Amino acid sequence: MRHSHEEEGEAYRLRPIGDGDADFIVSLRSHDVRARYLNRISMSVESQRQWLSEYYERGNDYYFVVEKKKDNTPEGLISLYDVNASLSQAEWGRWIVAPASMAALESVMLLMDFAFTRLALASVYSNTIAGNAAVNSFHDGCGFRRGPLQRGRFKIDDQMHDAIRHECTAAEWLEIRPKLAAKAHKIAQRINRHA
Amino acid sequence: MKDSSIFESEVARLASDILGEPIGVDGSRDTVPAWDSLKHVEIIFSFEEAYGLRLTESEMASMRSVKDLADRAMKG
Repeated sequence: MRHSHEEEGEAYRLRPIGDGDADFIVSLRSHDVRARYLNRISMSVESQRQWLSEYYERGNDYYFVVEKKKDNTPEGLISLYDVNASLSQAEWGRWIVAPASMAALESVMLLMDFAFTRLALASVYSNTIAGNAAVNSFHDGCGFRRGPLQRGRFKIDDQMHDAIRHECTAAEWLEIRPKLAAKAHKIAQRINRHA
Repeated sequence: MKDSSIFESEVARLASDILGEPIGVDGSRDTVPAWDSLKHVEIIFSFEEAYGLRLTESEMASMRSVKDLADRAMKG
């Protein structure tokens, strides 16, 4: 959806995605080896703009660019979608960070803060292809709770893939957050020192 | 002066301790799934402390293997 939410962290911010980011989306998702675990997208800028025009119409979808604060460089993408007000939950994903970026941790923290503080949701979850061991390890390391295996959750290049679901409630996030914030703070100190 | 193989062994041991699994001197983020973004931060900070170094932001992101880190330690 077209939204105007921004989340400011120490070194990074989340800002709403716009048509001007279509080139960035294509370049990030075309060239990063990790994009093989994301749903295939059309690799043309024009079709990305078309996809964005449809996204703007969806009322329960928040797509963000992860931007470094000191120079406004876009370094990643992240989304909160399928926001279900009656269940007070949403899924997060479309997460990808440039290989030469340290934005992974803070970008996830900012999205969780957005979900639990700004939208006051009760829980969020993610579905990651089971074979994407590095991202599943990241979720485990953050302290997100593993949910049931999602059999055949994704179809990529005509192949079905199981997904590992990770869940986090607002109460769990309050427990998890301080540990992650300490690490994110150390990274931010380093990044901002060179500002 | 220590040669590169000693640095590589030291860094491999340091990374293994953090990852909770043994990795060899050829270990990297591309070959060791447990070496995720979160663990990478821990490895970098532990590496800095062990060698008394301070990596730049771009170095933090670009050091992706035991060999990268060992080379950096050797450079000082």
